[in-house]
Amino acid sequence: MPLTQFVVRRLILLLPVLVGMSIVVFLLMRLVPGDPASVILGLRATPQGLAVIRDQLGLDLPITQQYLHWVGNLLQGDLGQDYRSNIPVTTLLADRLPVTVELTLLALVLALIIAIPLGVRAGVRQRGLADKGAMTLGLLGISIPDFWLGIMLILALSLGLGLFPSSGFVPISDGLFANLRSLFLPALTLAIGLSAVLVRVTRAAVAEVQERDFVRFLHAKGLRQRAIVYRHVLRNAGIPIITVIGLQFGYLLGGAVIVEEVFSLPGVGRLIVSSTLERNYPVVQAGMLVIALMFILVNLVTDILYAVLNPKIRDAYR
Amino acid sequence: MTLQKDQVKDFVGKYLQGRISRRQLLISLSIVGGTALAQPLLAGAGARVARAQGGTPRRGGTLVAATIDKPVNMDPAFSELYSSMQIYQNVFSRLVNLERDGTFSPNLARAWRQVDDTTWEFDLVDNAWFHNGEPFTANDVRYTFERLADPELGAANLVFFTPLDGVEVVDDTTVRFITEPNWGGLPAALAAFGDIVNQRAIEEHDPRLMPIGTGPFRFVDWVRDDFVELERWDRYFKPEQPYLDRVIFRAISDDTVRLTGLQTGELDWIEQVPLHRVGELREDPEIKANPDGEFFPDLFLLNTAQPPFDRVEVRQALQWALNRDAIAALVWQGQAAPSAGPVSPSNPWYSGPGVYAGGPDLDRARALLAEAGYGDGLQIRFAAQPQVPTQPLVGQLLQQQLAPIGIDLEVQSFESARWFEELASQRYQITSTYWSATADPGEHCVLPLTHSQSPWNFSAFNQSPELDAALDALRFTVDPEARRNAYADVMALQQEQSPAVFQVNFKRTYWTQPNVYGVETLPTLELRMEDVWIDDA
Repeated sequence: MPLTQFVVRRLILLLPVLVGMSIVVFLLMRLVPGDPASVILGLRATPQGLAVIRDQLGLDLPITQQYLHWVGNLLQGDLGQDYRSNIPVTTLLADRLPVTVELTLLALVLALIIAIPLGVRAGVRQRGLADKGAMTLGLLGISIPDFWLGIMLILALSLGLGLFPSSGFVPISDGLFANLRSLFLPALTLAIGLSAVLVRVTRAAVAEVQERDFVRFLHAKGLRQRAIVYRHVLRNAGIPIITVIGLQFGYLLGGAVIVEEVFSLPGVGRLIVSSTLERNYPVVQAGMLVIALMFILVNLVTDILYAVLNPKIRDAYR
Repeated sequence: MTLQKDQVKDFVGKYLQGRISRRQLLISLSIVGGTALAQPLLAGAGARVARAQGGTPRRGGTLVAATIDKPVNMDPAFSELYSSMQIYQNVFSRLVNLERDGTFSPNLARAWRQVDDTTWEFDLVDNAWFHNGEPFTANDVRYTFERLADPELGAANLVFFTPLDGVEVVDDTTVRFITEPNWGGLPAALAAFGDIVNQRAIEEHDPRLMPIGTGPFRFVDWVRDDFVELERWDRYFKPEQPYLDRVIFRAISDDTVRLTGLQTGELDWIEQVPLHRVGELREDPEIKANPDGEFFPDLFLLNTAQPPFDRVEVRQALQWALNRDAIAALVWQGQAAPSAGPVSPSNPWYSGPGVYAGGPDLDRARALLAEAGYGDGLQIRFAAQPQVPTQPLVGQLLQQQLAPIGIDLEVQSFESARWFEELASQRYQITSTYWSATADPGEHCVLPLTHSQSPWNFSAFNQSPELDAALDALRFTVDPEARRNAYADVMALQQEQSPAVFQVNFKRTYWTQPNVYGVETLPTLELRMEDVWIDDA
């Protein structure tokens, strides 16, 4: 099957997943106790005030009607309005999505820069210095929670050495260097957790491929070690590594929620957290859908990469 | 008359030099009958106070301030969130200001007087301009309060102005407020919630997103979840002020991150640092703790519609078992003053230690419980929100304090939205909360929380017609001294009945770079940035 056909087929399969997601996201918010009207009015809520707000927001309609209304608007590109500010949710997401996408991509790049060379070296020379380093990173990176690591990095690299700003986001329009500087600490916080997983998987995959006959043959052929590792071993060890990257992208998006809060970044994660606490249904629903869509698309890219790395996989979809 | 003028000048001079307090000044002025004469001399007093704090104010500079929460709505008719008020109160002006010592000072109103039982007259400044270019006149004052009273708008802040019957324009610079007879809370309500808006501005722009006032700073930009930018308004009616060219508000929820921002110089002004670090930071020459104030009462709300707190004896037993010193020391790390009422002893409204002075007295508490039929002990549930870190701590401490009198208290955690629901539907038994209105503690705190007819009577309290009557009497008293006496009567009854039990007053401190001047905590908790300046020499 040609690659394009494979991709189109996967995109069509996305539709039922998205419909299912929309129902889950919608119902989840309704199942969580807490009334948006009383959150909006806060301590100053009166029974009359609550009734007016519920009526304005359509919260007194039957739940199926509320869902159909929401999906109907969604299909026309209308994600609704923020309950509190009346700003269209599309505007809110358009402002924040670039921050979260840049943060997660930068974290991914940093994680790859840390994990791949270290994992390869650890896999090639087991029990060497790099191997010990890799195992330590693997253990610490998974054990340390993001919020604590973020604050420690702020104290060390921002307060201690003055290298990076402690919080806030500088858009690319204000200069690429300032932008990357403002995102480096949050991205590093996210990257350390991801690289801990990646380094272990890379080490195991490389070590396993190292033992195969074709590698021994390449050695016998007289190829240099570096060429064998990066041209042949890594390519063959690639499938498990890419699988983990795809799956761990969900971890990155989840981690972004916490990291954006710690570093006061105006991203989708922070928006979802504050909107969930406010029971701001339209914002949470749209934000969750966008995050889910991102996760699904990344996994689609992962599948495509499988097919690129190993043409046999394409046949499996025939 | 000349003698009187000289005396007034002398008193005002002493005040501006910091030799006497504002309270002493006003007492002295009232003795010589010179309050009205002093008002022109006192206009711009804020500027001179700022100067007294750190030399001559300098013009220019950008102040980057970090609050805890982000703003959500810039319309002053709906100021349900403190994080929004902190910002837009610099964009709007009020007719009068409330100072640190509880006295009122002129702002958009140059002077005011009570004409008769139902009429207050305000003389307005004639040199104020809205940020859209419209001149400020008495019509704007009328429009502001007519808009607030419009039932279609459903303004949350209307509740502070319910005794207001109307606003009449006399001429461009004179306006009359028509109220229920002798409503003494008018100046406090105006100072705390009376931000003046302009009709054209409200109609042309969504006021929730684009505030336009006569205030010291013009609204420039708002990137949601990121920052709000304000710029100096060149036609501000106090020609010397504001000093800053620009103020940028950011919201950083984590205490440590906010403090780090101040320490690295990225921020110039922050509210609140980690409580356990206050002592150490006060000694740090690199940052400055500005004049603070105990204007944030924390209190227990007791649901009097349900057992066991339907019995006054149980509520009184709680009062006798309570150790406020321990709460102030352990929960608030010493950054709060124990207090049985909404204000601390340093506040002019303070009415004495109250009827439970000398407590805790566990024997009396046990005897009261036995009297109510709970001699064998009882179980109660405390509703806490983990998002408010001090709340579960207060619950745990209360658990320890009530155990010796046979009360088994269980701390239950509710996420904020659930907690609101528990409160509004009166399913809770006991919880703790803060209340931020100490501009007028009687009318803005005790009345809304305990009057049987108040929409915020979360305790569902209706057991004391005497307390209702005392609250009404306080509300409709004008003379400051008589009002303070009425407040003392209210507090005596409130403490006897205890539908809400005050614990402590949190000390709000603003922390800045050492070269930032003019910052102080005010009873309205407004951030008056017009007085702030940066000495970058």
